Amino acid sequence: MQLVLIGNPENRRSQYLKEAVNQKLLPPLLIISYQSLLENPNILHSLPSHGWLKIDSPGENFKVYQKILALAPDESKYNYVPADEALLLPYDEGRIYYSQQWYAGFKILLHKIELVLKDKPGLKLVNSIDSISLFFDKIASKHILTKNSIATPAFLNEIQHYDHLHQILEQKNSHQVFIKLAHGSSGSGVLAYRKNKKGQEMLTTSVELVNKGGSAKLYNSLKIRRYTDYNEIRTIINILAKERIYAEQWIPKASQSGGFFDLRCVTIGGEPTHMVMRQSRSPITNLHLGNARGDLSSLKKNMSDEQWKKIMALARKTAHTFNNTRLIGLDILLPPKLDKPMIIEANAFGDLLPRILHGNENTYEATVSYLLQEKK
Amino acid sequence: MISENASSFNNKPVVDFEGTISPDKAYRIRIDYDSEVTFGSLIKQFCEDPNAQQVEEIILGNWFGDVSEPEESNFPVDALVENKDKLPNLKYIFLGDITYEECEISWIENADVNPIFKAYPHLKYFKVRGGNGLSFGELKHDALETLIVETGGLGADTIDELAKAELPNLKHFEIWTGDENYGWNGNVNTFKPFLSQEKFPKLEYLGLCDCDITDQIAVALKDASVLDIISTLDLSRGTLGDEGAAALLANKKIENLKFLNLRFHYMSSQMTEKISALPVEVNVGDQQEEEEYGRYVEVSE
Repeated sequence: MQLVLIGNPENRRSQYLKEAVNQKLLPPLLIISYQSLLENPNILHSLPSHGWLKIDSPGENFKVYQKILALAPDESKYNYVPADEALLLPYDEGRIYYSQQWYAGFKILLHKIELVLKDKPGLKLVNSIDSISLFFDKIASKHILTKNSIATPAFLNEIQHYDHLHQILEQKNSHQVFIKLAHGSSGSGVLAYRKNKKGQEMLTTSVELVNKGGSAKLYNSLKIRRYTDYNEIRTIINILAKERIYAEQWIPKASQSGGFFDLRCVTIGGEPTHMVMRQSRSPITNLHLGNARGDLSSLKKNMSDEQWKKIMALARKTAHTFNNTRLIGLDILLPPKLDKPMIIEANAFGDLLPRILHGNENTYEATVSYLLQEKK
Repeated sequence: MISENASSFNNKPVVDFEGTISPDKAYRIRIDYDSEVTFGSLIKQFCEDPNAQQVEEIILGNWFGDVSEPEESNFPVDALVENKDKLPNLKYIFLGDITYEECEISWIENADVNPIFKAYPHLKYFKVRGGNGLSFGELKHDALETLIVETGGLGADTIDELAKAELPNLKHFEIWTGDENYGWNGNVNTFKPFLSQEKFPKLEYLGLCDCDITDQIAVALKDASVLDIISTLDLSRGTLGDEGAAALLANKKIENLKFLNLRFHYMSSQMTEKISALPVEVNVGDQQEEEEYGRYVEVSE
């Protein structure tokens, strides 16, 4: 069985998959780098005609990011940087901008891959092009979850600007929401916003508002900040809103010793396999923000079997909702009483859970094993 | 930021009340943002359980569900008072086990809790979270041993009520006074009554925590007679810097303590070392760096 990866070869994701393939004594992993693919899409014609193709994250590589931006058509709909300028953008670590344009470019790239694959019916995708596109559109994903009666914090609306947020909160009789980029990843640009009846506001986020030379810019930082000042909150929301954002219900998360937590659960072939608890002292649990993995076994001890089964059933049901999607990273929320689990979101590239084993296999090994048996 | 619910209380593991009471567990009563039952009906169900007669402890969590409002703030107090005959052994109360995810500590609307002390003459432990609207009235109680008041901002009026309280058996007194943006409006004189051993003659633990004038408190502790009777001084979560630390170092009475809690502070590393050398167990963890706008207490919102 030949496994092919489209990814960034220098990234540890690629390394893990390569090791998993070697460990199973399969033909070495064939890696098509995003870099080469973006330079010469014809490279795809050299793909083998049989086997499995995994499309992995193009992230953590600025050159690749620039080239994906440059693929996007000029649209007045979003904050746009022309292709030639995109290729010359200076690296500005953490800056939040052009996320819509990035998504438009990424979809074009996915479409190019899809066209080539039409001529190679024997080369199967681990996750379909459609599902990868879908997972990078959190609004569309949310609608699919809702349509399929999968418990998820309610989608309130897209948010055009700060005052619009307030109209929506009023309409929906809501006072605390998460505001997210429709096409963000890794907690980028996530805002936890709430207000009370006295008109006090609180914005908790890893986003940093930076005023440089008279213009305000947003950056993802590694530190959780709390904004209470009206002008700052308004500025942050208004800048972020240029990039297609939406508000969803903020459901309180459960806590245990060490802070609040949610669960990242990987499903392989529709079955929940690997899980980590993402624990935080703040409402934003993404592990790269200095948050730690929590103690899953102590959670299990505090839960009834029934509560645990509900989580598993929810993960299974969610995984089965997406066709031709064999590998999903689900973020699962538990409210304080640990019952009524909910899907926060489904991630296309959510399988990077180093050192977490399921039946002695990490996520990459388990994926390869699954593909081997599905082939039979 | 309060990021954990209570996991043990009165030396028992805490669980949410779901309909039955077992004597080896401590129960928390609370509702969710979308609970189908009301807080009142849950308390009623708890009190009518045949085992309620033996219950020694209760935790009241989120009673408002979605958003805390002043008009509902009497609600848990009234419920406790109404059911006093059904909980004859109740000695430990934690009112407001509410995390940041459920509500900002400074947005919790509280109430006059005085009727609780009247209804439960055998109460030994009372902890409350949330300073808005919180009042103790004319507090007199012969049995109370522990009083903990956690807030993101506590008004001087409420602290004055505590300064006038008659609590002859109080051993542990701890208040988090918080940030001036959320209700704290006192000054160092607000704390003076607690620095005398006459106030609570059996006191062992004095906590003046989460305070934005910790340096001034540290200075005011010079010659404070309370230091002759307590074994723990807790100035954690506040704004202690080198000035206050120097005052503590110069204060011989500090050396009579068993434990000095200074966790979350703004002392320099040099001063932290000096303080650590005191012949007393000292917690100097969570050193903070002063920000552009000054020092912040640990828990305010």
